[in-house]
Amino acid sequence: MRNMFFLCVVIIAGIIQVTVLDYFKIFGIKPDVILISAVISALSCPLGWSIPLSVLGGIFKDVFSASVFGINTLLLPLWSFLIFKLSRKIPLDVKFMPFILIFIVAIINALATRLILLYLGSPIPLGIYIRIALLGPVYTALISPILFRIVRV
Amino acid sequence: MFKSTNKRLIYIAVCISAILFFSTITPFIRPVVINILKYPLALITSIRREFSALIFYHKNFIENERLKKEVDFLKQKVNAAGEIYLENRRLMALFDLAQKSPYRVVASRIIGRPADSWSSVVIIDKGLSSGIRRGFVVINYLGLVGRIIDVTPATSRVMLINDPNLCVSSIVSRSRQEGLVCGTLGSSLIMRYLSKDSDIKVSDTVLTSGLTDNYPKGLLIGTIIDIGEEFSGLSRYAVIKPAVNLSNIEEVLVIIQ
Repeated sequence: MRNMFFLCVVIIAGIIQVTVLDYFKIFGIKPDVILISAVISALSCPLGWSIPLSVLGGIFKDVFSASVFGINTLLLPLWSFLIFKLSRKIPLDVKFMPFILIFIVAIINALATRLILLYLGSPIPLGIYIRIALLGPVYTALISPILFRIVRV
Repeated sequence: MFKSTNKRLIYIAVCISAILFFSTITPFIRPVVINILKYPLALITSIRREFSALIFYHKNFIENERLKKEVDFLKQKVNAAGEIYLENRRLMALFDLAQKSPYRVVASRIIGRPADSWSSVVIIDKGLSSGIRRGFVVINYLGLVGRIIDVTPATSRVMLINDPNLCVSSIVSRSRQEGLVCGTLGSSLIMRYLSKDSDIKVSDTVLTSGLTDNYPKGLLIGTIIDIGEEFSGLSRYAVIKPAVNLSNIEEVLVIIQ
């Protein structure tokens, strides 16, 4: 039941990401609620569920982006797996820890995306990249408490 | 113990294979997913539209008043322009010049927006069945919007002009100075490859030059708001405010001929 709830969270996050969130853009950047939902599911579900949920989130992101192959389908399950493993080693349910975690994951995600895009031969100019890579994670981390409260993790 | 490790290894291998498989087939399942989500997305977009209409009621009311006055003013101008158009046709017939046919367009509504900040792509609710093909140019009544990059029978993906992967050959309307307009993933565009002595000014209008495939000549791109010098010092660039507000467009026109 709980796992099905998180499945709904990922789907709703995906739909919100491609419809409503455009109104909340700051400097052309919008928060990544799919990433937040993937992190939440990694913190709350068993690995057998969090990986497929993050694959679903990744597919959703890739379907609505211009990427030539599934960058996010590849990256989100990886973050999910690492967060799951990390949560076994250090307590991540301490105050502010999930938000710091989301900030770090968003930054690493931006870095990985940049490297993959460079490798694929469609680089984003450095100035634009820095703007997205710095503002995006901050915005995503600031929005995450709202989603955590809604999901009540 | 050995059995348990073996089982875990098989599980990890299956997971990695599945992820790689999905990652590779994402471009192929894209049309299927978009077609499945077409109606839910259209519904949510409509609900969002109604909500914003309610929230911004007063702003819309004031704007409506202003626009009504503007429409009255423009009606007079259209009448005058109609006269000039007729005169132009008479003169063209007189000189036996080939009449350039106007664009054939398909009106479409935006049902989905980009899911990440790394690209600027929107989904529209018309596709192959409406005659839309990959590479077709997308405009609205204000100017250039983007280009079709992917088509399914009922939907299409449009790369907007503020995506860095989309560059359009352009000219400054006043001085006919040529340059290349590219996206910045933000609210402005950048016009590059302008020589140091190029004749450009702030508030100049930038249009498509017609040199890039498919883009008809003379489509409005935007207005120059800033001019700077490239880091190398060899050329200049101009920052352009797009004529179309790309963050809240709802309807577009696809030029199909």
